[in-house]
Amino acid sequence: MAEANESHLHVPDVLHSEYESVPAIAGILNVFLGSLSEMLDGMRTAVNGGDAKTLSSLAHQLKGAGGGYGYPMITDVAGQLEKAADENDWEFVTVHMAELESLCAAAIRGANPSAGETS
Amino acid sequence: MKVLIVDDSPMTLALAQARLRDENLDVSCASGGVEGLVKAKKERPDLILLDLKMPDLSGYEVCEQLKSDPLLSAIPVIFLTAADSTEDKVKGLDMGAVDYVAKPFDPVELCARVRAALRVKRLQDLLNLRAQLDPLTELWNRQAMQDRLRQEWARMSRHEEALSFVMMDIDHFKRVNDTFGHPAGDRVLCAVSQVLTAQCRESDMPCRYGGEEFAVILPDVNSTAAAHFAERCREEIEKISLSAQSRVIHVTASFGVADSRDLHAREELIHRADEALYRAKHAGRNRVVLWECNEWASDYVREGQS
Ligand SMILES: [Mg+2]
Repeated sequence: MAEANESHLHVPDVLHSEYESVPAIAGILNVFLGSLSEMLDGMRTAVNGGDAKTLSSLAHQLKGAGGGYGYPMITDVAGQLEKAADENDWEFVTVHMAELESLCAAAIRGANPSAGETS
Repeated sequence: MKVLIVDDSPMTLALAQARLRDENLDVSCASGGVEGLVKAKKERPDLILLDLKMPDLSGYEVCEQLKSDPLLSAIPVIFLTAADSTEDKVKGLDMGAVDYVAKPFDPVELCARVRAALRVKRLQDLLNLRAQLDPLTELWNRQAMQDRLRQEWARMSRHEEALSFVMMDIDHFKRVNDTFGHPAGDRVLCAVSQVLTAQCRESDMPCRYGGEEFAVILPDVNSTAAAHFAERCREEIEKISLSAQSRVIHVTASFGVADSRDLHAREELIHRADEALYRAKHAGRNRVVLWECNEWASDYVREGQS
């Protein structure tokens, strides 16, 4: 049987924004995707340093933005990560952090199919 | 209409801006609570979308400061919140927010709530404006004039500029009412108001002081220029052509002019203009008298003297 602190989330290889065809959003998707790696870096540093407050704050921002850009899964997982950070539950933090990183990588691949591929 | 979005997340700012793009609004952004307060003061938006969780100053603190500032307290606030506890929402509404929108926001819902808040704001502005106008002449009323004079006085004191005040009274107005009836009197009041409005610049403020008394605030104008302004009004009022019961109604008015030089209180400004008006009346009416040299008088047509 799976442990409670294992991920049960199925992360697709490629994640597309639900608003990809909405011009107002398609035009600013790069604002969101472009800031993901910096945010994830900040979260990773916070996880490694045991800084729950910074982690919670960054996760909170992603929770608020993800769904708005058409990625509700990012909002869900970032919300779980925020909660785990607030509760100082570092096992869950590790699980949700890994999920979030996979989701963000899939979203970046979805918007830019050549990203991450070797020629 | 102007909307200010205050949120520490650039992602949310970009998104809200993009979602509101088709609403035909003048949108500006602030990336924190402190910057939000500065921009609110400077831009006087019609609506503020306010994030709750910000590192420098929370949305609650920003809202509290907005609501305690008489110049900003009427601006409606909608909280943007990713914290979805009922307690947070209730706290925000109790602090004077008109609404909240949960983040990530549903685009259609965000726009609809913004539209609703702006609709109410428009009505509120309209009511505020009506409360400051004289219903008959649609000039500013006495209360609005007092408020504006207080502001102009403070501004003038800061910048050491001139400020003039003109008091005006329609000559023998009681006779018009007694002879031709009140509807004719009302027409005279309206015609005189139109003359004043036509002679005023955008920055001047013509008001109905009460009854047949009028006043005009002239910012950045010295008493000589103000006397010329009054003289132009006097000439135009004399040209008013009204009739009742097949008889011509002659309209003239007397003016008292004063400026803020050497004055320490704005009440004195009104008092001096009133005193000059009194002299104009006693010198035969239909003339302009400047407070500082009370002999200043225009070429006038003696008419309707008692
Ligand atoms: Mg925030």
